[in-house]
Amino acid sequence: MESFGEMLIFVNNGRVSLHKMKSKRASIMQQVIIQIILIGLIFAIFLFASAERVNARDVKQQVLEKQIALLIDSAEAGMNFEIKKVNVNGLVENIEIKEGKVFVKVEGFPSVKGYPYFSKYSVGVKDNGDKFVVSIK
Amino acid sequence: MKKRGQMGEGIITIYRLLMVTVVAFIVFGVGSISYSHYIDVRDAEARILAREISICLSPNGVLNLDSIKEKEYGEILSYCGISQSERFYVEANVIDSSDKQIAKMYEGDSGALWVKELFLTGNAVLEWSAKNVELINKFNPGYFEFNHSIFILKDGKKVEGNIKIEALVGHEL
Repeated sequence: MESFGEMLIFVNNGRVSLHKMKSKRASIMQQVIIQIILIGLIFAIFLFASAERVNARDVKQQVLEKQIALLIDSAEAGMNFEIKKVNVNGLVENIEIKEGKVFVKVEGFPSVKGYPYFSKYSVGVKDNGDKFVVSIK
Repeated sequence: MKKRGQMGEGIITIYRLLMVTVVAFIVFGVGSISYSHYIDVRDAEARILAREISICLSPNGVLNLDSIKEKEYGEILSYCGISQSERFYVEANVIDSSDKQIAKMYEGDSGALWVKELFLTGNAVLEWSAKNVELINKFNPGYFEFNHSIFILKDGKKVEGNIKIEALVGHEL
């Protein structure tokens, strides 16, 4: 009878340790899955950020900034030129002229670097409804 | 004890995620820089710059050297009201009809001229693969040179001559 009792305790202990092992394995699996998801998210964020950097909006912005800078460089005092907001290079949301640089915001993509111009005249930009007017004074 | 272990695991997880973020930042950062599209307008800028200098120095085709002080010969961009930039080098050589140099005006980083010469003679690209040529080509400055005849006004005398203007525009990186 005693040995049967001992056997029962042994079996019960075995079940408990098996259960413990299973729950430990499950928690490790859970952690691994959470880590994989987090790492995947980090990579996805960086992938989208770098895709944003090299996608068409970036190129369109560069084209617009350089075209405007060249127009400013070659313009004489008293000249004005217009840039339509609905442009062939996308929706132009804002044009800024500061510190000798042109900054163009295209389709929600703001400009960080801008592009320098070297005109000797003073340059201003005005939002005029459906277009921006750049004036050289 | 169990709580301590959980805390330790949490710290290790944060550390791992930080490491992954750093690696991802480096990989995608380098990738986005090398794959970004570059539109080169430096030749156009050099052309405009040379034209501006020409108009400034010889409006109506007459260069009045009496109105330019000698110390301004080395500050030609400032003289013309163009803001000086590390990217620019401008040189204007004034010669008379007997090919004698009367004045040389310039401003900017003359190293750009040397870099341009390297590209013109081909030394910079010798034995380089096509891919490498493309890589170093962004350091090839925009260049424009033009020569036209003018009247030079010096010491109250008006003589015929020529002006040769060279404009170089470096990369903006």
